[in-house]
Amino acid sequence: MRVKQVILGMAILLATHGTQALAAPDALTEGPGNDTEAAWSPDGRQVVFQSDRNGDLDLYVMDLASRQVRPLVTGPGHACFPAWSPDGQWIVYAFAHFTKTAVQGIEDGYNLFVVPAAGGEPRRLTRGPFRDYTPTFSRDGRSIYFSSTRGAEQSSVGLYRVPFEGGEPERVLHHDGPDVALVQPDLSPDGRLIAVGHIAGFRGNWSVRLLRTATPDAEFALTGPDAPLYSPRWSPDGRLIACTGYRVGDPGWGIYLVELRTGSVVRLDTGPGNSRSPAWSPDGKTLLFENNRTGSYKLYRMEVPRVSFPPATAEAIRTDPPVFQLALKESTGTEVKDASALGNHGRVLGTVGREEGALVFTGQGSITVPQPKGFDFGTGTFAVRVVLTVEKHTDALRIVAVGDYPTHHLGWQIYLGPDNRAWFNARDPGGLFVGAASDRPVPVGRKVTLVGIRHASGRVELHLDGRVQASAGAGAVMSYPVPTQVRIGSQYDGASPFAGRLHEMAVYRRPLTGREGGAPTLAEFLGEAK
Amino acid sequence: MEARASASIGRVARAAACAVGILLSGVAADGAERFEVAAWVDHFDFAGVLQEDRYLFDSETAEGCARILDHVQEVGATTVLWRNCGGGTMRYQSRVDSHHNDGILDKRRVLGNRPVWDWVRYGDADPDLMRTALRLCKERGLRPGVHWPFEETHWQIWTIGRFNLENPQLWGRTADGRPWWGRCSLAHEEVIRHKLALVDELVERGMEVLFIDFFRTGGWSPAYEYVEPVVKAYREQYGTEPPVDHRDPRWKRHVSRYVTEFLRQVRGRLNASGRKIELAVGIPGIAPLATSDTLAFGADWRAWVEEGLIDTLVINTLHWDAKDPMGSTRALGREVMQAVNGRCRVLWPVRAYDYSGYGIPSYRKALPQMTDAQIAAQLTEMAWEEGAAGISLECVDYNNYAPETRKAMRALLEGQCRLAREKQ
Repeated sequence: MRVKQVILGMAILLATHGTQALAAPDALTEGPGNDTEAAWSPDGRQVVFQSDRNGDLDLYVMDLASRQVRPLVTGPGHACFPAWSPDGQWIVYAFAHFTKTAVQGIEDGYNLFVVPAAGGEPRRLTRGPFRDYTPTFSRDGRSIYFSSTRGAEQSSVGLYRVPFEGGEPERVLHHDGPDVALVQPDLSPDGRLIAVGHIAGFRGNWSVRLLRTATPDAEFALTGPDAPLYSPRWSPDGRLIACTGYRVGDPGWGIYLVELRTGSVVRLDTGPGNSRSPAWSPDGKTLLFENNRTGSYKLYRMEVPRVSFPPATAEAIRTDPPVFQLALKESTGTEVKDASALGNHGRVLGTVGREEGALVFTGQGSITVPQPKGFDFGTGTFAVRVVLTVEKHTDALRIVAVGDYPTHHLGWQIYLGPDNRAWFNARDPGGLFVGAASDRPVPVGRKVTLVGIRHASGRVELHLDGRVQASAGAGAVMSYPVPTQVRIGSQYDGASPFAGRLHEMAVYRRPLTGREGGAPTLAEFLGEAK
Repeated sequence: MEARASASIGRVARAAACAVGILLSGVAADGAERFEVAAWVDHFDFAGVLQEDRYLFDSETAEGCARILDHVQEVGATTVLWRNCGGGTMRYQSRVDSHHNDGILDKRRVLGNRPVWDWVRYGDADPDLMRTALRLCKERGLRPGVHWPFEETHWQIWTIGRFNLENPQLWGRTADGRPWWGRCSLAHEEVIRHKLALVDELVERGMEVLFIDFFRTGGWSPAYEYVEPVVKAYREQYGTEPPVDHRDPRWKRHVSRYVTEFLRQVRGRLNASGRKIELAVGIPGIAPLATSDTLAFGADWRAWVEEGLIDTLVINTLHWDAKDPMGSTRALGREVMQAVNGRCRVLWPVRAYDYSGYGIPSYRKALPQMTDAQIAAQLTEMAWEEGAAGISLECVDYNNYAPETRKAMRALLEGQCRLAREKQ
């Protein structure tokens, strides 16, 4: 196994560095304790880092020429996650010192402070019983972006911004879902994009997301869920993002580079031990990181090698046509036409209204497609895609579509729950529910694209407007025979009617691409960003 | 002044409780064993209990631990199983994994937004609350035990501890090969070594009973055990690829062997301590035996009984029949007793918790003529009559065993049911 890892490491070295010799990483710190979360000064002469060498986390500054280390913030309490201002005059960090028990009094949590980089009195930036952390300056130095639990009703962490001069923090983006977090933002050199680590729920992994600074609701998943990557840092030229990552087969954590243009990734060879938390030198030639090869984390630096990125792994595109596709224009009277080649036409039960480009469900009727062909998925993958609009939230269960099978009336369903979240569920072999819900209640008053996927592995996912949602299910490997019917707009028996507009609906025997799910491509996202 | 008065009351109560504890403990003159009352105690559950705008327990202090034990003793407890962790975060200053004074901020896991910051003093070196709680138990004549949930989880807030975060190469993996950071697989020796180091920390703090709870398995499941060593062993044994469906009976049995090996190692480590330290396991949904699926969470408890790995089997839940709640409870308990056949001690449940629908509130629903106190007393008496070694109380919170219930149980436990009916 170890031999295999060495060979793998050599292969990566060759792949990533070509014939260029790679100098061994240079140890910057030594001695007891863990030195972590380093950040380079804008002039490239110093680094600030946190260390537990004296117990609590304190901040230190190292002069790179002399290797002299001076304390910056010490004493009781944890001072952590330091970042420099663009002019090099200030360092922002998170700090907390708990002195009481909860009964003795609730104290401020982790809050942000700024301190002169040369040393001096810290100034408090934020306040309150929250956890404010991983701050970073905006490129103009006027504000500070950070992660925080403030405003969270569930266990979640959002992205916030506070003026450098102080003031009320402003929410930038917060998905207040269970175990969802946006951590460690970093602004692109031109300030237009934010890269941030995203934790996608308990069953998810870390990934790197891109946000548009001006419209942060527009997100793009730069890396996928198969390999956890976090702690993103932009290269000074804006072409690369360095982050901490792991892929199956790696010996542990390592430093990865992500090519922005293609999204492809490469692991750098940093030698033995875990390597984490990369930071670029201002000239983009050197990376600083922490590594535990000696038993505790110490700071190292290495030249950024010439990297050959593997060709971008194009999203595996399968083009099998759908087994059902709502054909609104061709549908007349009580007949609902299927545009697929299988002729799975349906009929209206009760009353379903029509307007241009949509079926209008008002609770007075639904559509049944009896014994549709192609829906006998067995244990294979299938996906259900709907585009709908709801005008308001209610506390009612509203079934958008259900696959009614002889083995289970509720074989799969796509619906809105009483919590107004969208849900997709399939079944395990015993008929038990396995579902995934949207992170938040579905947006009202606009078109929303929902894609539910049951993978052959039993994983159940829900995508909303192209973004995979945090919750996911496992074990949904029920074998699906020919269904009794597919019911659209209500439960299989007409109960729990959907109220809203259904613009599109299609069912596939394959997973859908992000594009089919409503997500832009990376090129589109970056193009729009410009 | 008020604080001093309340401290004084606390001392008196503790002295009284201590005297009662001494009276209650030990073995009767004729050699019969005490009927055990094992109370699961999570000091976290006592945090935030308000009465007239005043907190009754400061669960982050030694004084608070003592007050919690005062309360627990009102139900007649003889053994206390004190909670040692929330997932991968230990409630003492662990050397080998996260604790509440270490890594409160971690960018790799979602942070709790509880107003009191996950009770930060639980990680203090002084007082070490785990050591304090175990010492207090011993001083009061209670058996000091630890409730260690098997891979317990409160999701990313606490679950993902330092060891897990540091070792992605040991993480579980799904059938489609995706690594999952929620768990390290027991198939890796490093993981076992780490868990044994945690056992050592508890032994060193004075633990006399290690209770591993297989209900609080959190995210652990055979669904995430498609790691290289497990898959390779499966191929070698069965000559085929593992099934994609993690509920496949053969796969579940295969994976459960790693849990059994883990317990073997724990047993060995406890024996190596040179002290008599009991190993107990708690199994939910254990009966009816014909339909029970404990392999879904890796618990091949019959094999553990057969092999002599465990001292005590704690029945966490019995899936009794609402048509005959007490009769079916008795019949199911007997089923387990017969399966065990005296090879280890058995504790029956008297559960105030009702999340699975088989606790006292569900009995009350099925038996509206009975009060909670009567139900608890009848279940206690039933366990005693059937020759159980004792009962298990999950979990003694402040409110879930009401004063009348505590009184009724204690009367029985100090009277008719004081000694176990039969030696097992």
